[in-house]
Amino acid sequence: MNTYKESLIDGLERLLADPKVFLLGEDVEDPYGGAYTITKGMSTRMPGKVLNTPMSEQGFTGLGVGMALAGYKPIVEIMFGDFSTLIMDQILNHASKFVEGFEKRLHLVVRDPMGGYRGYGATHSQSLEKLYVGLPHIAVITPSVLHAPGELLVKSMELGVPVIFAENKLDYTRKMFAAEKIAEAFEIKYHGGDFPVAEAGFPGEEPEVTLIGYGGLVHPLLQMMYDLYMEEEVAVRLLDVSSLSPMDFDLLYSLVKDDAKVLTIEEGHVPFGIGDAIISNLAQRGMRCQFRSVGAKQHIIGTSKEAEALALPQIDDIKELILNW
Amino acid sequence: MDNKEILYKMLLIRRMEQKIESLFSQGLLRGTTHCCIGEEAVPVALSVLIDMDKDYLCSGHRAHGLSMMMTGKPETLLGEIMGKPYGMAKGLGGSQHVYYKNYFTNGITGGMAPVTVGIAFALKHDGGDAIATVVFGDGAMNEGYVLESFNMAQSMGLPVLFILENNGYAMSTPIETVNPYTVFEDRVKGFALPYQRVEASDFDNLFAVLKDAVEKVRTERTPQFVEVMTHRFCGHSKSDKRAYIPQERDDYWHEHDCVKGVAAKLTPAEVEAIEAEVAQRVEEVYQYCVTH
Ligand SMILES: Cc1ncc(C[n+]2csc(CCOP(=O)(O)OP(=O)(O)O)c2C)c(N)n1
Ligand SMILES: [Mg+2]
Repeated sequence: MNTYKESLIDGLERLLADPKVFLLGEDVEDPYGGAYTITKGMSTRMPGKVLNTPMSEQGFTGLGVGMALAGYKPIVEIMFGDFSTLIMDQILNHASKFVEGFEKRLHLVVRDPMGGYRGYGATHSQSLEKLYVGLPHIAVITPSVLHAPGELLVKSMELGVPVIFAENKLDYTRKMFAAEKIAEAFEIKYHGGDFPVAEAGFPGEEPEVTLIGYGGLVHPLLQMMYDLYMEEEVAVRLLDVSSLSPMDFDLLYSLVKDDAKVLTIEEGHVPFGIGDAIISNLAQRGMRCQFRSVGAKQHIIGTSKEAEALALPQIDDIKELILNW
Repeated sequence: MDNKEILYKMLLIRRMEQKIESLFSQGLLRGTTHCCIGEEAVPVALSVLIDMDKDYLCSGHRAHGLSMMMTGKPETLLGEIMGKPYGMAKGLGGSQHVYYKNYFTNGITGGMAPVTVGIAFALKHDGGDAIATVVFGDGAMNEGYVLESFNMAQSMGLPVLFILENNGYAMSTPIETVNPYTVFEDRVKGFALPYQRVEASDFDNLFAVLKDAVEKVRTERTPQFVEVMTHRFCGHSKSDKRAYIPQERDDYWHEHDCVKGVAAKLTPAEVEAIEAEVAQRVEEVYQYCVTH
């Protein structure tokens, strides 16, 4: 699969072949085929399986929860991840409670496209996955150009807990990293099981800094790493986490325990971000190194390029940070 | 159900609820609870209209009556409130978060409405004649997701029965003060849902209306809505003194108490015998729960 989108479509179609799987969301049917045309053609090819809902995020997410409670396997699509604030009550106060309280395995995946850098402004650009992490019986899965979304999607449906599947809108337009030219310079290893940590580095090089990130920033970070290596002869490596919650902290620790510099990077707002939690966990294990975390700053995400740059992390700034560390 | 069975079930709920209230007031139970004294009629009717082996039933915080009617084992409800491993949710759920087969309750007011619509989606695709029913209050009628559920159920054509128990209050808030119309008929009909209204006082009448609605959902595979006018004689929750309920309202409902209505169809001796039987059962349940 060459592109992120192809992989995602493949995963959706594999899931939809199961009679218990349905995809529900706003404008997902043909001729529109979803806000990012991910489901284009599917409602025609598989009549009755891909269904337009009214604009009732809370309502149709609850509908998905009920389907899952009755043994079905719904995929719920939220048009913009920003709107996942509206569905939290159904995921947290209903679905997650049923898993332990009612001893039910719930097969439910919420596709939740996150991310900015597109000029869509404050309510259509956020990365809100941090609202859902660290809560019992909710999984937060983050595909990227290193973690094929289709594969993760299919595995997510088998987790038995509600899954926030945090896709990234810019990734819809990207190739999987293996299909990129610069990939040849890298060595990519995968650690862990179904939801692995991808390690991207340069063969034979001791990294000066370990980056820990996920999701839509992985693509520009890999390009930045390539530039740093080629232009500045600075080798850094990236650990790309595909399951934010639960997070395999043991695995992460085993991968970084001898490092001197660890930098976490996320698109969502910090402090109190994903990276802060990772750093806290590593520090509590007695790891002694320099830690930094980067994320969106305390501004709303403006629409102009300048306004957006006030809030969202900028690759040039990250590069500077690494070079001057 | 004959009148004896109906009265037995109603009284079992009422006396169990009174027992639970008294255990709370003695400080013997932990957390909170919402009793349904005065609102026994709907659970009793559903005890025979819903087939727990195929149908689904969901409700919210005020569901002790439904719980006892669905399980037929009050000790699993009291045990749950006491945190016992044989409780309906193994002691994890308390009064508000219980389950038994296809019966589920949760503590978010009205939140089970969209869940029930989703269950109905599954049942429709399963084929067969199973239905999904959700019971909620007048307060829930102002939660947006409940209205979203009405819209989804009707526009998607799903086999769900909505039962609104309108007891006139959401906690202390009278419906008159927060709704432009105090009966919800127009709102419900705005979603094109078939609507019936009935008072809980006359059990036979209530039963006929609910039975008709259940049968329609079963055969037509589309939603129905029943608004049941009712009254709660107890506080909203364990510590509520009911200062907001006017005497006249209580007086009206004492006249129209569903228990009285059924008892009037039996001889005093029959009623007395049933009372005694219920009292014994409640005592057995209590003894079981304190010793196990
Ligand atoms: C979403 C939500 N808001 C508030 C509450 C607190 N609360 C519990 S019951 C209740 C009133 C519910 O009224 P109604 O729906 O009429 O049911 P009744 O208690 O009368 O049976 C309130 C405000 C809650 N549990 N959930
Ligand atoms: Mg009420």
